[in-house]
Amino acid sequence: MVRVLALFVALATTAAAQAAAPDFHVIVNRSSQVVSLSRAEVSAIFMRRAPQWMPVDQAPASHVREHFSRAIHGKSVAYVIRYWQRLIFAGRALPPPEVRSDAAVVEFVKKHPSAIGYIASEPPADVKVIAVTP
Amino acid sequence: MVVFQRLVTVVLSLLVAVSAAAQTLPNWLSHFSVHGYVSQAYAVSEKHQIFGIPSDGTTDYRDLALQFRYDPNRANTVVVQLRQQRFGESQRGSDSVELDWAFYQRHFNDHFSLKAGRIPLPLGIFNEAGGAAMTSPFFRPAYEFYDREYTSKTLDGALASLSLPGPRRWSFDVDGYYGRWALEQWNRSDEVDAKNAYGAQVWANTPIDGVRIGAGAYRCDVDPPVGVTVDYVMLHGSVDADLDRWRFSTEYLSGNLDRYGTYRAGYAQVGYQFTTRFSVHARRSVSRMNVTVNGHHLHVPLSEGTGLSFNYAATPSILFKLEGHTNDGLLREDVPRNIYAQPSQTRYVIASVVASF
Repeated sequence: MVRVLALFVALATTAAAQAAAPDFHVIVNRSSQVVSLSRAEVSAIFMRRAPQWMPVDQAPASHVREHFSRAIHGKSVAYVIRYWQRLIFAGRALPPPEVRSDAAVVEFVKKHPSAIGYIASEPPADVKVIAVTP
Repeated sequence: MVVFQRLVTVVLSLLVAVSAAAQTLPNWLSHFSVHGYVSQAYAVSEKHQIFGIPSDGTTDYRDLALQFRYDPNRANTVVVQLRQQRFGESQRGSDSVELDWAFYQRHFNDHFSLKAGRIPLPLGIFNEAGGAAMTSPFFRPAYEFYDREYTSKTLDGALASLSLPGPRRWSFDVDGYYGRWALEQWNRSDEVDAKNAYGAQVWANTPIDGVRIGAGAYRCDVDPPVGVTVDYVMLHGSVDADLDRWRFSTEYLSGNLDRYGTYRAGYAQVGYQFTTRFSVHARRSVSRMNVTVNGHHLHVPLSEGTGLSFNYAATPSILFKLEGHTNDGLLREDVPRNIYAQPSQTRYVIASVVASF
């Protein structure tokens, strides 16, 4: 009985830890002075309404893109793609560049001082993680 | 000649595919981007030919575009788009690849820019990006509103764009333009010149993400194949709501065609996203003309269309569309158009796949 209870507690603790862990980390270049941004500010940056930033997106089919899109834009990836297609094929604007892995996002952010990206894996020490406030 | 034109089509299609695979460009080309789409359809009508769709069906029904964009810095942009459109038996569209757009844009700041050249005309929701994969759930936007007899997809001239922040999370996008364009005619390959054209459009972006309200107007001098130049004055309004699962669009166009009478057109379409891949869309559209012939006023029921479309997104950039339509009016193309004729009903189906990058 004690073993069953211990197993239950262990499972519950693991599940709680997983639930508390963020689905993604928003990262910027180490030289950036920014320590936090609001959700609306991050959304505006990735919709390219803040030209001083250089956002980098992940592939549309990736889980981290779906999590990011839901959490930051409050919309599905399909919605965001429709938004960009309307602007691309009206000749009005281009979406952020897309890369296919967390490692590629990290490389991009390390290379560009005004870059901002998001990754699912644990961020390396040579980029800076910023807090996203509601 | 036909072989050569088909070869050009195949080469363009291959270029689209190759470009799709080669989006990661070397550093020295980092200011250069390529986008495109291919929309290929099979279409068949029940009895009468309509929109170039014959009763024995056609696969010669497509719209493809390849866009090259060069942004050397934040202040300057050059865009060139090549496009080919084929609409079955219709005289509209051609086997050859056309220069759809070619314009230079100068960004004076984050809010104001000027474009010059052949520019997509800012008119309503779908005029600028009508053929693109995810922007329209139907093969073509509502004919009644976007009929090329009264509107154009492009403008040869200049366009100024201004973005203005508003109170309480409202914002406004304003476009003003001047130039000329060509108006098309169904069943005829010749175009009609529309010159001294000027107009404006305003979009009010509401505090609700994805909901916007637009209005605009334009006028132009139209040179018909015979007769004297006439003055078209058109007013249009739009409501566009993309609420992720629900999508709703409605637009209205009201035109004074000088001595040719008046033209009124409108449509509403609604869609629901059942799953991340599958959505269903319905559309109802109407257009009417009022003309005066020998002192008698004539009410011409040009078109009443109803359409239902099933969309399946295999990937975020590949979309299958299966749509059925009923049209009551005077648009059948197997007889010359006659404004005194009784409206006839035509049903047609379009199955298409769209790929974009």
